[in-house]
Amino acid sequence: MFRSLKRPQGLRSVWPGRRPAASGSREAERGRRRAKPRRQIGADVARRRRARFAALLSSLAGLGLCALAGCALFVPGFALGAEQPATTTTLTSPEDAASIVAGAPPVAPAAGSGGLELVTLPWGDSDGQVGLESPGEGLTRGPEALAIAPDGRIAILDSVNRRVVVLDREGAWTGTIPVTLAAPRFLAADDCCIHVLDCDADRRLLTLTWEGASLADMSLPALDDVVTGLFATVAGPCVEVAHGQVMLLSPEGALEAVGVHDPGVSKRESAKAKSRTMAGRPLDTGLDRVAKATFSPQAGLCVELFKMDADRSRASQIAEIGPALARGRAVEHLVSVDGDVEGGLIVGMRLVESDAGPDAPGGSKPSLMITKLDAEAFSSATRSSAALSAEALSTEAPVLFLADPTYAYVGTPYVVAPDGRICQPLPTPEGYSIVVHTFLEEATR
Amino acid sequence: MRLPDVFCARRIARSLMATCGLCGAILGAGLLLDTGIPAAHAVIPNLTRAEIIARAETGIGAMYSWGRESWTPNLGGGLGPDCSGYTLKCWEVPRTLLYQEEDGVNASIPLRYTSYEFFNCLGPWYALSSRSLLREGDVLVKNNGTSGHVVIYAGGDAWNSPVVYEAPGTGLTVRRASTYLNSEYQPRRRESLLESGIILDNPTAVSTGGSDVGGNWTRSTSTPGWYGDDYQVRAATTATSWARWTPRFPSTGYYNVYLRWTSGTNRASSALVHVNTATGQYKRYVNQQINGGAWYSLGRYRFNSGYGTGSGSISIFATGANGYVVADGVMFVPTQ
Repeated sequence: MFRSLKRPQGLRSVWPGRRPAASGSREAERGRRRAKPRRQIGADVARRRRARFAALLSSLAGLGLCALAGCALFVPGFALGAEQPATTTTLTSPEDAASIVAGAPPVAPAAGSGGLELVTLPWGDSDGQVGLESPGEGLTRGPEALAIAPDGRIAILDSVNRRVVVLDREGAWTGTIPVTLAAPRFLAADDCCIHVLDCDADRRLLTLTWEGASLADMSLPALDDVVTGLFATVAGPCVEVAHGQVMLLSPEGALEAVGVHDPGVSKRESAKAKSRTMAGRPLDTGLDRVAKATFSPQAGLCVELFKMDADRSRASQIAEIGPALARGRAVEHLVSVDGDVEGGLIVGMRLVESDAGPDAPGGSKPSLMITKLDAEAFSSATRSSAALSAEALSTEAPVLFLADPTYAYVGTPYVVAPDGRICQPLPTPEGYSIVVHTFLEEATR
Repeated sequence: MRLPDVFCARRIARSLMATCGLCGAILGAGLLLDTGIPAAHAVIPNLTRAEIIARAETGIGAMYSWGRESWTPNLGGGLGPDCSGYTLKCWEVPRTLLYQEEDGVNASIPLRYTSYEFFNCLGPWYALSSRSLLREGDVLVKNNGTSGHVVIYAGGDAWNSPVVYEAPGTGLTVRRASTYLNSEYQPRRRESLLESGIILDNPTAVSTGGSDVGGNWTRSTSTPGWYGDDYQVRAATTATSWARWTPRFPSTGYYNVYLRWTSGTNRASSALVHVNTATGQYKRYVNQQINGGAWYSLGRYRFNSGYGTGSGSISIFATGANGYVVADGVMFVPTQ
C-alpha cells in the first residue's frame, strides 16, 4: 500500500498520457481549430488552399511585426526577449526549507511576498514526480489539492495519477498512497490521517493513515449543492457545501465517534455517511472555532467567528469582522478564511485589477491579498460591541500578495498551514512547486 | 472534384474572420472585444438561460471524450463530449441541438467551434467586460493558443470558485462543480439569449422516439403560435413516444406550470401529460385542438430544488393519442 522511497536523484520532466502538442505542430493546430472529417479534395484545390494559407501567413507575419514595432516605440520597457519576472526566491539551503514548515523562524524572502521554494516535483508518473494532464481541449490540471498536517508533513493529491504523494516536513519525497477514487478533488489532513474526497464521480470519502492504511470509506450523503471544501478535525472530516453549509461527516451509526483517532476502530467499507450541520468552516483541527464568511460587492466582507462547546453540539458567536480587512482596496471576491494555531484568522481576497498589490520585482501584478489577524485583534469584537474597528485593522494587520497560478489547474491558489504560513502550489513548465510565504510587515508597508 | 462555391466562400469568410480576430489580439484591441456589442454572426436559435442549464444537466456523468460533442441524455455514463463540444450543445450553436452525433447535419460545417473561437469571439457570442456580470448560462473560457478550456457558468462566486458545468478532461466525467478559475478565464455571452424565467422550449425536451435520438418527433412551423423558433410534433402512435422537459429548479417551493402547443383540428383532443414531482406523479389531459399559441395552465405543484427527471419534470405522450401531439414548450412560475 505504502511505498517508502529514497529521494530521487536527477529528476527530469516526464509528461504522462497525452503529451501537449508542440507549438506549431499539426496536432497543435488541430487543437486550436479542430476540423470535422475533411472532405476529399483534388490536388488543384489543395494547391490553391496552400497558396491562400501562405498568403494569410505572410499578412499575419507582417501585421505582427508592425504591432511589435509599435509596442517597441510606444510601450515603455517593452523589449523582445525580455525575461519573465521571477516570482519566487529559491532556498539557499535545505535547512532553510525545513525551518519553513517545521515552524522555526523563516528565512526572509528577498523581496515583497516572493516566498521560498520548498520543493519542485517534475511532471510525470514516476517516483519523485506528480502528474500533469493537458487534453488540449479541456482542463489542464496538475495536483488538485494540497494539505499540511500540524506536524509539518505534506500531502499532495496527485489526482492525475490517482494517488496521494507524501512529503516530509522538509519537502523530501516519502512515498505514495494509491487512491481508489475515479475523480478525487479534495484533500485534508491532520497528524493522524488523510481524507480524500471524490464528490463528482464516485461520491466517496476515504480516510487513510499517513502510512496508507484505510480507516474509513464513506459514501457521501445527498447534498444541496456542490462541495467547496474539505477539512480534517478531531471529530472527523467536515465538508463545506457552496461556501456556506458545513457538515461533519461520520459513518452510519457512529455519529460522534468517527473513529479515525481511535486505533481500535476497524476499516469501514463504504458505509453511508451521516452528517451534522456545523455553524461554519473549522479554523483548527481541534474544532474549537468555526467561521462563517459572506461577501457581496454591496455589503462587502463579513466574517462571523463562533466558539464550539466542549461537546461540539453548540456554537456561540465570539466576533464579527467587517469589511475593513481590505485596507481600503476594492475587493472582487473572498477567496478563503483559515485559522492558525495561535488563534489568528487568515483571510484571502481577490482585489479588483486597479487595486491589485504592489508590483513584484519583475513587474507582475499579484491579485490575491491575504491578511492575517492576530487573536488579540478581534478578541473584543463581540457581536454586542459591534464590528471590529476598521482603523485598527487597517493599520495593524500584516498582509501579503500573491499572483494566481496560471500554468495548470491546481485546485486552490494557496493553502494555510496550521502554523499560519501560506503554502502556494505553483505549477510551471518545469514542474509543481510549493512556495512558502510568511507575513512580514516590513514587506508590505 | 470541384468544391461548391458556397464552401469556398465560407472558408474565405472564416479566414478573414480569423485574421481580423488575430490582428485585434496582436494590436491589443481588447476594447473591441469588451464593448459588449454583439458582432454579426450566423443566425442561431433563441434560447433561454433555463434551457442552457437544463441541457447541461442532461450531460452530467458522461465521460469526457476529446473531439466529441454529444452524449446520451440523463444516462449518467457513456461517452460524452469534450469541453467545447459540451458548451456547443448546451448553447445550441451553430444551429442545431441534437444530443447524438450529428454527422448528417454537421457535414456542412467544416470547422467546429473550439475554446479558441470562444476565447476570441469568433462565433455568435460576445465578451463581457467583467466577470461580475456573469449570469447562469454564460461561459468562462481560457485559451493560450495551444490549449484551452471552456465551462458553463451556473452561479456562485464569480471570481473565486464559481459553480460551473464542465467536461474537464480525460478520465473524468461531465460535472457540476465548484472550480477555482483564475483571471485567465474570460466571460462570454451567447447571442439570441432570452432573459425569461424558467421556460424550456421544444429543443430542450428529451424524448423517446424524438428528434434528438433520430426518431419521429419532428420540428415544424406549419401552424403559427409556437414559442421560440418552431415546435415539435408527433403523430399518434402505439409505440412508446414521449417528450419530457426537466428544468433545474433554483429553490424548493410551489410553481405554476404551463404548457404550450399550436392547435388544429388534427391534434389530439386528450393528450396525456405527466407532472412529475417529488411527492408523486399527476396525470393531466389537454385538448390540443384549442387553446393554441398560449400558455395553458396545468396547475400549481411543489418541486424540490435541483434537477430530477422523475421528481421535477413534465412529460407529454404521443402514445395512444387520438391525433397529432405537439410538444412546444413549458413554463414554470414560482408562486406561494
